[in-house]
Amino acid sequence: MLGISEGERSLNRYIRSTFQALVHAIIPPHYRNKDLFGTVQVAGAQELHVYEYVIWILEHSISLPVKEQLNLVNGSMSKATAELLDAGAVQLIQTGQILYPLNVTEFSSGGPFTTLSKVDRLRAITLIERLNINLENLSIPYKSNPELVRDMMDVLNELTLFGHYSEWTAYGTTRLFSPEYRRVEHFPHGWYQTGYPGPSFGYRDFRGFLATYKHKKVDD
Amino acid sequence: MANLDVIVIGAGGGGAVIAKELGEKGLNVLVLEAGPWYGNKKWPNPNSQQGAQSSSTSEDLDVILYKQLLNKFEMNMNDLVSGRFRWGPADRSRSQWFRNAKQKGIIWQCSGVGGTTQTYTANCPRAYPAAIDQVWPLSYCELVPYYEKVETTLPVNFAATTAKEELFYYGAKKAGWNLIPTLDVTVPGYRPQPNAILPPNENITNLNITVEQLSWMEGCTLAGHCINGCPHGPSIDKIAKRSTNVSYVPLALKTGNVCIRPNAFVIKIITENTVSKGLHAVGVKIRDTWTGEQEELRAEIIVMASGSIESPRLWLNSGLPVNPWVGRGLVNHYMDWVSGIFDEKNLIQILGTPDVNPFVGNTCGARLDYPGLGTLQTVGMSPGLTASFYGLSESGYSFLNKPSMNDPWDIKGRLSGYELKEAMDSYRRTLNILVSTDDEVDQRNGITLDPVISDENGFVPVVTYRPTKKSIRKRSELTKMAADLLRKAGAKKVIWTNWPAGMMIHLESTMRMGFVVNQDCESFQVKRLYIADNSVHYNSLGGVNPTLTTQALATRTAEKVVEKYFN
Repeated sequence: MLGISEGERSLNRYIRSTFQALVHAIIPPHYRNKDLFGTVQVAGAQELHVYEYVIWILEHSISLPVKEQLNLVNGSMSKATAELLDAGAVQLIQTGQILYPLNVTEFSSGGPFTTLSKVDRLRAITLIERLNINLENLSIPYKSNPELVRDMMDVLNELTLFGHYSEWTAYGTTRLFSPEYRRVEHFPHGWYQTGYPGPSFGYRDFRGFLATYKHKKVDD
Repeated sequence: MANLDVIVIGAGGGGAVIAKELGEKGLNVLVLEAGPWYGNKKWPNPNSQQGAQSSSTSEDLDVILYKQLLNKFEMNMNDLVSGRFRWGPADRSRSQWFRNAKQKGIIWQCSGVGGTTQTYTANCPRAYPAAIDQVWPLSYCELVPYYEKVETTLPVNFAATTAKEELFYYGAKKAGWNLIPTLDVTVPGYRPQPNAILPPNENITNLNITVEQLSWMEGCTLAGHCINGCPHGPSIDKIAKRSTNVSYVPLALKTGNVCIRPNAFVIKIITENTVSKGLHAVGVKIRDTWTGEQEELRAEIIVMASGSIESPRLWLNSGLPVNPWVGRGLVNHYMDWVSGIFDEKNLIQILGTPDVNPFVGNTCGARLDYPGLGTLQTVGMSPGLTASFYGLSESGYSFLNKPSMNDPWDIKGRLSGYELKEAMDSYRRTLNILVSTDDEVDQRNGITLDPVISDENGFVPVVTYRPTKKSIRKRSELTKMAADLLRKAGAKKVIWTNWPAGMMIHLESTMRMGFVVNQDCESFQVKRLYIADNSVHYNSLGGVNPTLTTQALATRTAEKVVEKYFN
């Protein structure tokens, strides 16, 4: 790709791998009983590219003028957030709290967070959430900002869940477009997984009224 | 517009009401709305093109356009960053407007004509009398005629029953609660939700009429898209869910005296200080959200109806007089989330169907009220929103917070991995309960200006909420009640998410009556400046949904404005 330096490509791979590892830990693929004779594999958030949604939101939620005031102009929210996850991972590793061996090959170009097992990634997030990391060493906007650090751990989960179980995955080739230009290309995976039938004109499940009341006439 | 009588800032739950009431009294009203207008011919592409400047006739309302825009897809409509219902400019290629919330949680507010009522679930309970009498500067009796007027206008009815309400009633009854089919709640009990949703069409079960045909007829189709945005009805003013853009706005336009200008962010209240009038409001400075152009507009009276965050922010950014209660005293009902997962076999016995189907019917069709504690309400949403609510927790991941033997829930905390998949695989057999607490006003909570960060509309608001010990105790009791109700209904698994305190869905009391405004909702310090939104509430109403009370007060305030300044 012209115009993108090797450094930028490497950074993008780092960010992508970190968020792949994140969503993979929150919603891994799993097997569901299909019938008496077999199971079916259900895609997790990584397979459905939900990490792209999380990154997109982090990069688009704050306007440029506000980013400038946060000194975020030359950085990015997704990069700073990936580094925050790494800080939690390093703390988990250095304090001897990991439950499973590190795996450096699962996500290419990833940082320490991506080398953790799924459960250890969630435990690293828990360390961050409990502020058991050195906040002074973090990048802006997280540096010495415990409220934002704690909030972001919820946000990352919430975004992953909303991205996975809403129609975002069905925007397919248009999923990273500006919202006005996205088009639903197929039935969303998350809706299929939950049995949600999608947008509806109505349902017949009317079971009457438990109570009613008459409006008083009001003089206008 | 020349010779304006009143400028109303915000076309949401309160602003649209006071505009209609003042328009009916013959006053010349301009409503300024920061966000877009969906379903008006003058803005055929409201999220990508600037469109016209204003609209003042109901002839401009276009139900076909409205149905195209409110397409019922949850991310397209509800994404807080880029959805059609967000707190941000109409142009969706731009970022949302920044709020500095220094805690876990979300702020669920929408810009646009209709404001947050575009996405609200239309719950319209009255305040508990015990939360008003001898507490507010007004008595409950004084509010009742205004409640009645709003209930007739919207109109408000008790919700229809579908499977999830039936299951809730079953559990409530089994748990020992009584049915209280009333609007004036003085004792604990369960009841159908009083809501601003038209009752189902009489043909709802007539198989000779398709559901698509029903969606063009009058009445709720039980489609379950209250939060995603209800587009069902034959015309804008007959849409089933009575957001103010389909109820009060058409009525306001029909008076011939009301003009609404979207895409206009008010950035300053302009005042003058004269011997005869004292310090008083004379106008506003606005910023066009598409062009950035600024303009000053003048009127006899200014009404702030921009919500519990923006009204104090505007006061502070305008440099209006210091008042230790401006922005202070925020309550948010310190909400929580409890879910029950059921077995098919039990559901068939209770409901005659194997599923609860949370996506069917009024989103919040049933409730349990407990004056002194708060409320429990059923919530059935689309799966993305449902899942995202499992992701917010004060206690972190559930697998690291195993409940003890005596806890009334099986899972506590944020769901992930296997527990999440199990819960979402059981989506159709889940009943969710929203806990809404009678939380206490605390002056430390509220809205301040960020001393450093500003956007194009001024210094951004910092939002802070910490529950008091009393509020924590009340929520804890309500959460246990919710778990008990679900268990009595036969839930096989109960999940307590333990929401963080920063869930800003019902925001109230940041410009309190008796402190910032008088009982007629006029500011003590700046004459001719009124407020008609949730911020004037003296307290959290006992834990009930705030919109109806704001609308009743806005109706009353319109009378007071006319009595004082236009008689």
